Formats: sequence, C-alpha cells, structure tokens
Amino acid sequence: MRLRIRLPVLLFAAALVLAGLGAYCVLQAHALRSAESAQNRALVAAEETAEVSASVTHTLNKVLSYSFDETAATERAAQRLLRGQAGESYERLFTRVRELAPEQRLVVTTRVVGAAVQSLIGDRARVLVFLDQSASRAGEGPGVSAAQLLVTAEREGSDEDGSSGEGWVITALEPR
Amino acid sequence: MADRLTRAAIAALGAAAAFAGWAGWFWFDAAHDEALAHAAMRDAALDAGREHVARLTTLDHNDVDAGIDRWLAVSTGALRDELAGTGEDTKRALREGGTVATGEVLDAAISELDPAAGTARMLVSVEITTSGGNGGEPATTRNRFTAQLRQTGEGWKLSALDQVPVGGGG
Repeated sequence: MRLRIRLPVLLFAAALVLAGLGAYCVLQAHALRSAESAQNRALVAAEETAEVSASVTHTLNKVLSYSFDETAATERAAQRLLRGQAGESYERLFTRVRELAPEQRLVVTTRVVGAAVQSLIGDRARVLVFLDQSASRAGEGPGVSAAQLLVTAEREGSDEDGSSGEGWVITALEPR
Repeated sequence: MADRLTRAAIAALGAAAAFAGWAGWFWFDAAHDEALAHAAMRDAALDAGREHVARLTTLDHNDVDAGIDRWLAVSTGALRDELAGTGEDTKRALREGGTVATGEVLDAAISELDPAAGTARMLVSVEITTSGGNGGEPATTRNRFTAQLRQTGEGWKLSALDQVPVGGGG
C-alpha cells in the first residue's frame, strides 16, 4: 500500500524536475537569441550589410560634393536622401555654401575612403565612415582634409501604397 | 484510485519529458546557430580591438619598457615582430622625448569578418592627447586607422594597425 502511494508521487516529482529543466533551457535559448549582439545583423547578413554600406557611401559622396555653379542639383539630392537631424544640419551648412560658393568659386569634392557597418538592427543602421574632402577656392590651390562620421541610416520601406521606392536615407550625422 | 493516480503521473511525466527534450534541442539549436556565433565573434573582435588600439596609441616616456610590453601583449604576427624589434635607440629617443601620449578610441566598427579564418578588419577613429614634450601645452590629434585582428589562443589580437592617409588615392 505504501509503495502504491509512493510511485505516483515519485513520478510527479520527476515530471516537475523535467519541466523545470525544460523551462531553464527555453530561458537560455531565449537569452541567446534576444541578446543585443544577436539582434545586430551587421556582417552576419552579408548582403544587407554591403547594401547599407554602398548606399551610405553613395549618398555622402553625392551630397557632400558641390560646385559653386550647380548647388541646386546637390540640394535636390540632399532633400531626397537626408532626413531629421541630418537634413537640418545639412540645411544650415548649405545656407552658407549658397551665399559663399559663387563668390569664392568653391568646389568641394568628398570621397568616402572607408566604411564599416557598426550595427544593423531592424530598419536602422549605424555606419562609421572615413572621408577625404578636397576644397578648392578661387585663387587657392585645393586643400584636402580628413573627416570621420558616424552615420545613422534608416530604411524607408515601400509604404502601404505599395510604392517601390525602398532605400536607405540618412537621419543623423555625427563627427567622430 | 491509486491506479488512476499512477496513470495521471505517468502522463505528466511523459509530457514533461517531451517538453524537456524539445527545450533541450531548442537551446542546443540556439547555442549552435551559425549567425549567432558570427554575431558574438564580431562583437568580441570589436571589443578587443577597441581596447588594443587604445593601448597601442598610449605611451608614457617614464615607462617606455612597460609600455612596449603592453603593446606586445595585445599584438600578434607581423605587428608584434615589428614592435618587438624596437631598438635601444628608439627607446632612448622615446624616453628623452619627455611626452605622454594617451589614445582614446572615439568610435570603431568591424568592416570585414572571416569566421573560418578567425580574422577581422576594423575601422577606428582615435583621439591622441600628447602632453609634456617641448611645447608644454597638451595637443590632441584625431587619427583614423584600419586594424587587422586575428583570433589567437588568448583572444583577439592586433596583427596590423595602419593610419589611413588623407588624399591617399586608391
């Protein structure tokens, strides 16, 4: 009689232990998959990483290069590709450029010489970029300077209307 | 009565065993997930790289030998050989220069990762503050480097550190 009572108790106890073990495994797996490191797809998703990097490189080469005789084209590109903080600080910079460029015959050429994607989480990427900027003014030889920027880019999805204009826009620029 | 209890207990045990088996596989799968392993590798390389580059851009003239030992501890391969070959003349010049250089990493990111080979390439922006010297006033410069990293038995180490020149062409 005593044995008959004991057996179910033992079985329930074993079941409880196994359930606890299972819960522990699930928690461990969840911790592995939800860690910030795991959410960051930079370099892990190789194709997407290359795409962000190329897109940011292309945009910076375009909007940070301007010539006194065609500022309008650069400005249009900036309006299309920059948003938020990046758009505002660019607008401030360009207000001065518009005033000074014609008189100084200013030509600025920017070239991205290195780019590395630091994080790619959801639809947002951070890219560290090394730039060479050469500027020439009337009566002066060209001068080259170095700049380092941490760029925040966001994917502008194809919206509900199904427009196919998916691409990366730059939302913040931070000197590093 | 007792039989029904036993059957219920057996059913509970069966269900718990199935759940534990599935959960164990779930954990195993996550622990062996290649993407997760690569992500962890990338972050380990970045963390080590940031620390090592700061160390390699730091040197106190009062403590040149210990400084160079610290450089050797974080480097490997050709870079380590080059640093190990620092001659007495260079060391004397560093001591007599009277400067303290302190490197601080402003930002860094891994640009290439080869998990199979255990190598990575990193872009890093460093602010180096130099004090002492002849002028007296501390001076800061912003420098940009590409660093090569290699996984060793003692973690990630630097195998190259190259300044990215301005207007270097290419």
